Formats: sequence, C-alpha cells, structure tokens
Amino acid sequence: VFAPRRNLATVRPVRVPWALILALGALLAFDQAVRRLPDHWCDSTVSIPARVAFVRQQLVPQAPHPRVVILGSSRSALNIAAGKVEIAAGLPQGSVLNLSVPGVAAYGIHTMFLAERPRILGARLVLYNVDEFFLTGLDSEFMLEEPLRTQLARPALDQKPRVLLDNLFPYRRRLPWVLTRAEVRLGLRPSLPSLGYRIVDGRLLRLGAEADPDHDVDHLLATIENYYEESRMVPRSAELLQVPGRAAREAGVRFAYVQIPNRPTHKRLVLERHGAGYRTHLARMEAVASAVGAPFYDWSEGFCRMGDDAFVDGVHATLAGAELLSRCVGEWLKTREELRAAR
Amino acid sequence: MLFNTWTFCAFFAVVFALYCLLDHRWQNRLLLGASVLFYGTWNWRFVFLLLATASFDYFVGREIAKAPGSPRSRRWLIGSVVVNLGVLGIFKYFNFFVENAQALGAAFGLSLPSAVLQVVLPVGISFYTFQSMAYTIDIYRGLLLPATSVWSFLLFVSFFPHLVAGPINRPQGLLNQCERERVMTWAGWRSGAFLFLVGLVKKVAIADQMAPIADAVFAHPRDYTGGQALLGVYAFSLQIYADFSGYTDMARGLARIMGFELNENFHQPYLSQSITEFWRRWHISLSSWLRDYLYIPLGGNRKGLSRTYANLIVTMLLGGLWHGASWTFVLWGGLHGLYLVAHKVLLDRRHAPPSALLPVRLLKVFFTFHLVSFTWIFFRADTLHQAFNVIRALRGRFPEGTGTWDPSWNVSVIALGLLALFLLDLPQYLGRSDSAVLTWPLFARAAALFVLVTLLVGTRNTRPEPFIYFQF
Repeated sequence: VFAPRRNLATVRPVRVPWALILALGALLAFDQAVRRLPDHWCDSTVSIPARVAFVRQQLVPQAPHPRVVILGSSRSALNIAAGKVEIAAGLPQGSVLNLSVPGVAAYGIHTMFLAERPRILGARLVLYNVDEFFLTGLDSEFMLEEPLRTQLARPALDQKPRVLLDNLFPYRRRLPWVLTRAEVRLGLRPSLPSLGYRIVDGRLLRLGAEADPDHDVDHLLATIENYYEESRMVPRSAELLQVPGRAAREAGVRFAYVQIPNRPTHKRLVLERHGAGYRTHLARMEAVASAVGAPFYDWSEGFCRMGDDAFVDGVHATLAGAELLSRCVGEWLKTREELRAAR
Repeated sequence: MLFNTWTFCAFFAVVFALYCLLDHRWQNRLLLGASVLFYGTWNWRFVFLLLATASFDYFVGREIAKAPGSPRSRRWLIGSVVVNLGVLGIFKYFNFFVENAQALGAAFGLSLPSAVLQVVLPVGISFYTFQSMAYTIDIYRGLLLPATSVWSFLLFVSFFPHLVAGPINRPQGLLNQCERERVMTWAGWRSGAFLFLVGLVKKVAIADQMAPIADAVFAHPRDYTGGQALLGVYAFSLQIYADFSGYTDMARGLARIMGFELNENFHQPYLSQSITEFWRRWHISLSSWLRDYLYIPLGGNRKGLSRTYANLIVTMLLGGLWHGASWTFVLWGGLHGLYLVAHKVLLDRRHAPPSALLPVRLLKVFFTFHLVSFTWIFFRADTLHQAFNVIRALRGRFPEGTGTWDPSWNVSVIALGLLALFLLDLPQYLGRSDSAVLTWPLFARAAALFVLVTLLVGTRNTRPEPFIYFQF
C-alpha cells in the first residue's frame, strides 16, 4: 500500500523555487513602496477629497456667507435645492448653502466639515441629513473608498478576510486610486465634474437621472438589507457624526440632525422587511443627537407629501421632487427663531 | 467546494500528501474517495446517482465488449444511451418540456396536468454523463477495450478536478491514465502549480472583476444606456472566457501535479478569425464530443450540402440545450448553428485563398469576437425577454441611464481585462505550451510570477464567486 520511496523517486531532484522566492520578495518590496507613497498620489479624482473639492468649488461661491448650511450625502445634495429653500423661507439670496456631497458617508461629510469649518460655524443653523448606513455599513459601496474604513474595521478583523488582506497588503486599496488618477490623466475615465453633474438652484443635478416612476425599488432595497444589523454598528462612525454637532454647540450655532423623506414605496418596504431594525436605527440616532444636545427630526413621515413620482429611485428626488421638498424645508425654516433677523 | 477557496486548498493538500505515500492501486481508491467527498459537499444524495449511473455504464461496457458491433451489443448500447439521457432528461429537462407542453396545450385550448419536479440539478451532470456515454459508444465502435477494474472506471468518471465543469475527457486518454501507474515529476509539479496559478488569476483578477458590470446590465437592462449595455456585454464575454478557461487551467494543473494529463479545452478562442475556427478553440472537449458522437453520426458533411447545413444546426441546437433547459440556450446554439452555416456557404462560394494581410486578419478577429459576443447575450440572460431588453438597451432605447453605475466601470476596465487575458494566453500561444513561462530565464520567470501573485492578492474578494459552468 505505502510506496512513497518509489512514488517520489521520479520527483527528484527537487530544486529550490528561486523564481517564486524572488517573486514573493518583489511583492513584499512593492507593497512597502506603495505603503510609503504620499497620500496625495493615491487620491483619485473621484475619491472623497475630490468630491468634496468639487462641491466646494461649485457651491460655496453662490453662498459665501450662509445663514443655513446643509450637510449630508447625495440624498440631500440631490433632493434639496438651496435657491428654492431661500424663496420658500423668505430668506435673501445666498443664505442657504447645501454642502452635501454625492457618494459619501459619515467620513466624507466629516472631511467637508473640516474643510469648511469656519463657514459652517459662522451660520445660524446647521442641518445634518443622516442616511441609514452612516452608523454601519463597512461593506457598503459608499465605504469602499473611505480612508478610515480599515481603521473602523479593526475590532472585526478576524471576521473580515478582505480587511485582513487590506491591512497585510495596503497596496490592495491604494493601487486602484493611483490607477484611477492615471486613467483620468490619460482621459480614459471621467472625473466627478464630467460625470454629468450641474448646478440648478443650489442643488446638484445628475443629468439623465430624472423621473422614473417604474424604477425597481427592490433593487435598492437589496443593497441595504443588512444596514440595520447590530453586528455592523461601528462606534467610530457615531463619533464622526457627533463632531460637527459638538463643535456647533461650542460655537453657539443651532444644529439639528434630520432624515429627509424617501420614496413612499421604498419606506413601506423598509418597514415591512426591516421594521424592527429601522426603529432601532431611529433610536440610535436619537441617542447620537442627544449626546451633543441637538434634536433629531425624522422628516421621513408627514413632513412633506412626496409621492413615488417625486423620486428617481428609492431615495433620490427628481427635479420636481427636489423643488417640493425644498419648499417644505423653506416653510419649516420660516418657523425658526434663529433666522428671524435674517428674513 | 470551490477551487478558489482555502477549504479546497486544505482538502487538496491532505489528498496530495496521502497520494504521494500510496501505491497505484490505493492511489486510485484514495482519489475515488476524495472525489466522492468533493462531490458530496454540494449534495451527498447525488453521489449515489453518479456512482449508480457510472457503475451501470461499466457493466454495459463489459457486455458490449463481448461482441462489439453485434445486435446484442447494440441493444446494450441503446439501453445505456437511454438510461444516461433519461437521467439527464429527468433532472435537467423534465420541467422545461412539461412547462412548454403546457404552454403549447394552452395555446390550443388544452389544459394539461401540472407535473413539475421539485429537484435541484445535480452539479456537473451534463459533463459526467457525456463522458460516461463516450465510453460505451467507443467500446461498441471497437475503438476501446473495457476498463479492467470498476475502481478505475469510477475514478475516470468522477475524478474531482474535472468532475463538475469538465473538460469532458475521452476514455482513451483519462481511463488509460487511471489504469496505468502514473509518474509524478518535478517538472509536472512545477507546471501543474503554475497552470493552477494562471487559472486562479483568470478567475479572481478578471472574471470576478467583470462580473459586477455584466450582472448590473443583465439584471436591469432597462436602466442602462447603449454604451453601458455594450460594456456589460463585453464584460460578460471576458468573464465567461476567464471563468471557464480559468477553471479548466486549475483542473488541468491539479491533475498534472498528480501525474494526470487532462484534455486542453481552450486555445485563445477570441483570436479566431472565423466562427468555425472559434469552435475549434472554444470548449474543445465539448465541440469535439458533439462532432464525433452527434454531427458525424448524423451524416456530417457526407450527405450533400443541405444535409450538412441541417446537421450543423441540429448539432448546435442540441449543444445549446446541453448547457441548460431554457430557450435562451436553444437560441444561443441556434445562432451559432446559423453562423456556422453562413460561414460554410461563404467558404464554398469563395475561390480565392483568404487574405494573409495583418489588418484583414485583425478585422476578422474583431468581427468574429462581436458575433460571438452577441450570442453571449442569450447565454447570459435568464429569459428571452431579458435578452431582448439588453439588445434594446444596446440600440439606445433607454437613454436615461438611471441604473447604478460605478464610475470605474468604463472602457479602460474592459480594455485592461482584455489585455490581461491576452497577456496570460500569449506565452502559451507563442511557446505552444501552457507553461512556456517556466522555460524563461530566472528573472523573467520571477517577474511573471510577481505580476500574477500581485494581481491575485490585489483583486481577491472576501467571498469566492462560483464558476459559471458549475450550473451545467
């Protein structure tokens, strides 16, 4: 039965695999080299700093001294038109600045806050629109380019082979950015400004992404199915959410966390499938807000009568939908005491 | 148990360590046990189906061999074909035929009873059934002697590297290797491990990177513009080649490490200058099986032009149906049949020799690639409706482009994938050997390995993606 001597006789002479050893050595050296690249070499032009820079360049000149600042992701970037808010609130032109950035989560908004801190803390009121996955979602598509992602994930390293590989070989996450930058320079890849965004009434408009009443709501729902799981909560995300709130309180600026309306069908399905998780999310946001002494307004219910036809997909508004929501926000601002002198 | 998982690596390490210690007879028993375990990880119940059909064919082979070509052996052969195709038909095509019969009946106002089987498709059933059938048919034709041992035959059918997605091996090759004492060599270990690495890189660094683009477009074709749909179709063309040829490379590499040599299944198919050439380079083990056991028995090209065309179309239609019980596969096969007929008509009418100019040859490669890519739409789509929606999207019928589209999904990603595939195939193409790289000088070899390992580590996802051809 056992014949190792005969079986292995033909295998000899076994040679040292020098080519493999050299290749693995080169891999380690390459990884060390990429690890030492300066950050600015690795930021792609669709990375978070580039997105933040784009929004700043396009929108700040329209309201250099705002009274109201809105922070958030693509939802508030696309759904709230600052110009329409000003008209509805009876505020002078240039009073409302929407600094929301498409394709970001808590870390991206934090980047914007750091970049525009003086302007934001110079306003009377700051509204921070929160998405469900801001407290979670290390695997969500919005977190993939977040530089803090691997740091946020450290407590769960053993459960995440991809994160483990990212930490063992940092070139895994830096190389795509370098390649992207090269691609943009060669004209092979569009950067954010050429992706088709333009500004309408202080709101980002993604061209070709308007009304689609038949949009498949399940498609988006499938991407958020585990946003509410307890195991995915990341304390560091909550801390990032609280930074601007705490700074605003210290500067004496009114600050509120809000959650703007989604497509009614989308909201209904979320409640049907993840009702308990969604309610826990609201409770968590209440806790985050109260920790910095700020209110949390859930505008997703009864705040503004937006139908399915007001949305492109589950959460992003059409131009008409954005006008409607902006009017509702403007009406709400009319009631704010801190803006009375500005009107 | 997927080849691209750590579980499989551990499984293979244990099997290979034991394999090195045992003599030939016990090596076969070990490999048979490992193959049963490997197959049982998908669904242990189907292990019995696999072993039962294979044992039946072993028995039939012995009976046929008593008088090959006689009426008695013919009856045994028919029995074997009926049993094999019957099992395949029940598990793979029963629901398809019942549903279509009901639809046809409904069209004529008849209400046929519903009889849908609630069974999952046994993994790799199409592959091992065809391999087993080749054994009895070849014995009947007098081309093969029956296996001397049932263990060897069961191993021939169930050998785990090729069990679930081929290549479909001929008994003259693999069965002989199972029966004879095999020789492991250092060169075999080296080239087998290299071939496995190349296959893994094709799967992880190309196929899995292309998959999200193709998946997005095919899931919601109405959400994408013409340009995006075109990228989705290109992405699938690259994905299916990288996925399937990657699997084959891994299977052949594993087998070679253990002293086996499996059939080549691909030979740079996207460099084909005609659709006929494409079928000589794509899924070679299936196309040659269909040629030898279907096209030629139907008459091949020996019974006049119109019969040749009909034979080509029937062969390709059945080849399409082999992939799955769906009209999309039938249409895919039918399109390829029409292409082959059209090419044959052109060849028959042309008297001048084909141009050898490089631009003309490149143009032919480009044209053939696009003809093939068009058929992949039907292959990839779940339904005909979905396939036609993708075609509508390609024609720019949905200019809104409201679907989720990652900015990184662009022409350069497709071009990079194509370039990577081309470079992976190039040494083989130039050196006429799948491990030609290993003959290069030390630093060139090290550079090639560095690129492969860097790509592999850099692109590996958390969740290993299954191979497309596992579903067949």
